[in-house]
Amino acid sequence: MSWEIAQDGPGGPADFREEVRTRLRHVPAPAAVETQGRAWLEALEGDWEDLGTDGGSEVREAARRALGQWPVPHRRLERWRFTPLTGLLGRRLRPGATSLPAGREVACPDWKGYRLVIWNGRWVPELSQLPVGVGVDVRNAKGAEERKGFHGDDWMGAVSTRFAQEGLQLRVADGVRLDAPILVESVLDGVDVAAFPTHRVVLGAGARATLIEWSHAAAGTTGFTGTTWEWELGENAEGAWHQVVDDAGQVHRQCHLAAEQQAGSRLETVSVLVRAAQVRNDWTLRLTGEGAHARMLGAYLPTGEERVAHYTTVDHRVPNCTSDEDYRGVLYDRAQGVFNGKIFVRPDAQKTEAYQRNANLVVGREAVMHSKPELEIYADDVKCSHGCTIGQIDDQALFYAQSRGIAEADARALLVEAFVGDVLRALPEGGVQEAVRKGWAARHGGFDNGEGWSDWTD
Amino acid sequence: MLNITNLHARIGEHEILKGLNLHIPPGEVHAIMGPNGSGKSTLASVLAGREDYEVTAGAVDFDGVDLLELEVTDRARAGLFLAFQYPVEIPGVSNMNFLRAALNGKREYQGLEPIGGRAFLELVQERSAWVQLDGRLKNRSVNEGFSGGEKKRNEIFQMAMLEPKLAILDETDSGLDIDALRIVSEGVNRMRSADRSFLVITHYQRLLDYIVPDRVHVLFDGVIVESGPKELALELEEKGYDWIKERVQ
Repeated sequence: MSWEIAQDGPGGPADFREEVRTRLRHVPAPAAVETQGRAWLEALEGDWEDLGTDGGSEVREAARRALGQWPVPHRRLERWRFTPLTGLLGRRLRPGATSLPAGREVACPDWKGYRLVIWNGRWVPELSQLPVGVGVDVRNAKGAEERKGFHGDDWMGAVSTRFAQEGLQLRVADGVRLDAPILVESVLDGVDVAAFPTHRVVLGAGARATLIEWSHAAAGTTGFTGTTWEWELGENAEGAWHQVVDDAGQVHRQCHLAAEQQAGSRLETVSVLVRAAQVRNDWTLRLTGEGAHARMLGAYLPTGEERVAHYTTVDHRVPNCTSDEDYRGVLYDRAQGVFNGKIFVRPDAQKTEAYQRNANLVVGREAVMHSKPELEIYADDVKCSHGCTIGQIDDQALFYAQSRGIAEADARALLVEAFVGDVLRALPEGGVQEAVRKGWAARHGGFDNGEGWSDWTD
Repeated sequence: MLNITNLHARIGEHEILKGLNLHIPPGEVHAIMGPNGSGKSTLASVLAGREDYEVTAGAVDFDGVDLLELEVTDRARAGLFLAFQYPVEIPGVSNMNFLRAALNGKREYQGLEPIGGRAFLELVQERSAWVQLDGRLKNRSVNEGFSGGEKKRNEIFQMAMLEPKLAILDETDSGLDIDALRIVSEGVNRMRSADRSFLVITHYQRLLDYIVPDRVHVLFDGVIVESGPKELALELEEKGYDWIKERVQ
């Protein structure tokens, strides 16, 4: 698997595009940013005990070279306009403690499926319960080191690849279905700590697996998490991946996802942000076999000063693939959101069907949403559509609800719940969906019923 | 039950109600008829508390309470119900959750405990049967994908659940076929009682064959220009509004 973009021959449209991209990517950073970024990297290099202790030195080394060549991200680069790193690069970060504090809270306590706990980037075997069975191979991604890394695409991806710690490597053999979903509970705990969990999932032909990554920062925690996920889906494999972020602390998060889907495979991704000071997702799904299908759902309800950014790319490389993307946002207070959704249809990818939707309710007077669809279509027999909306809560619906005796705050919560309800219901039941519901209810009202309306039992 | 004195209301610079007086005693059904643009729907909106309208003069006493001082939600909780001419679709909000929130809002206002799930479902069962609203519709999103007739039946179902003191039916007959008209009217008639009043706004006398009013009023250019027994509706049906317009002008 290669992560570069151009594949359609010298002088082709993608070739030209690549040239432009390269040029854009190399707009030099202002000297102050460059100096700050280099110092930040050097400090990490000095502190990072994981370097050179595993078999992935080749991938790490490639990442180091990439970081040496590229400018530090800055706001004059289109992809970094809305998500500056200056706040992050000004902090000296260190690896977090490896010993667990006693009596810590468990995420989704009702969860009955498998669980892997990652604490400050390290496995915690005694808290984990993982599948064992024929055709299911689970190991620490660190020792396995088959990962490809993200240094071909992105500076922060290269950072996460360079300093990668531990994580899940799951291989499911042909035709095998994982009997229960795996919850990867990833916790950051400490002051000015960094963690780089790294995960890799490989599904054989017809294999099936569902994973949930529940990221959590303990109260009072500050720092950074750079997570990477690599997914490979064999023919007719079915994968589901759910991202939930619920940070009590103030953490800057970057999450890179790269998926490659072979013929007839299906991948569903769901991103739900409960609490998150600053999150940026950079996800790329590549459809490399005919009949592959990707579905991406997202919901974010940032409040206060929270920052949320989704950069997604769906790359249709071959004919007859479908993709369907639907992200919903409700922005309160002074929150800021970014949705940058790219659909790339290669010259050979005829009969592609690609749909994208990003709908937003901007509730806060000072809240801001940047929504940008990017469609690059080089095939002529395709169905593609995109739509982005930025609006307010529907006054007519609000009045209707109030005229039935529902208080204004409850009516607003009801309408917000309805707006993101489809995404919420896409999360696995049995602990995860309920926990998100509870988290949102605490912040926004509605969603659950301590004494409200969703609870039907007496 | 409802006592409106010298009500003036406008939308923007445009004055629509120009000194309207209306008195509805408990237990009575009053109909308001009138040509297009006479202010019928404005009256309904002003009573329900829609913010687009500004009341510039007059008073509305609702069962001893100054209605115009209440917020929209509290008007509903105090027992006012407006059946919308164009019921609003709310995708993603289930009819049941919506109703339960409404009912519990009212109960909270009355100092009662929230209704239990079982009791609520039993009530739904009983009241939805009054307007022949089947289970399929009850479990859908509020009004989403409902036909015109289904939306109006849903309005009456909501009314039956919330048991208001005063129900305003704003052109509930518009867009209904004969069967739906009969079903809706039967639902309303079932709700008639000595301590509940109705204000029925309609263009057509036909509805009043089913929901027989105690009084009929004619609204023209923002004021009530004629009031009479139910036979007045028949006279209007026969002669139109021109004779009233001429007399007023």
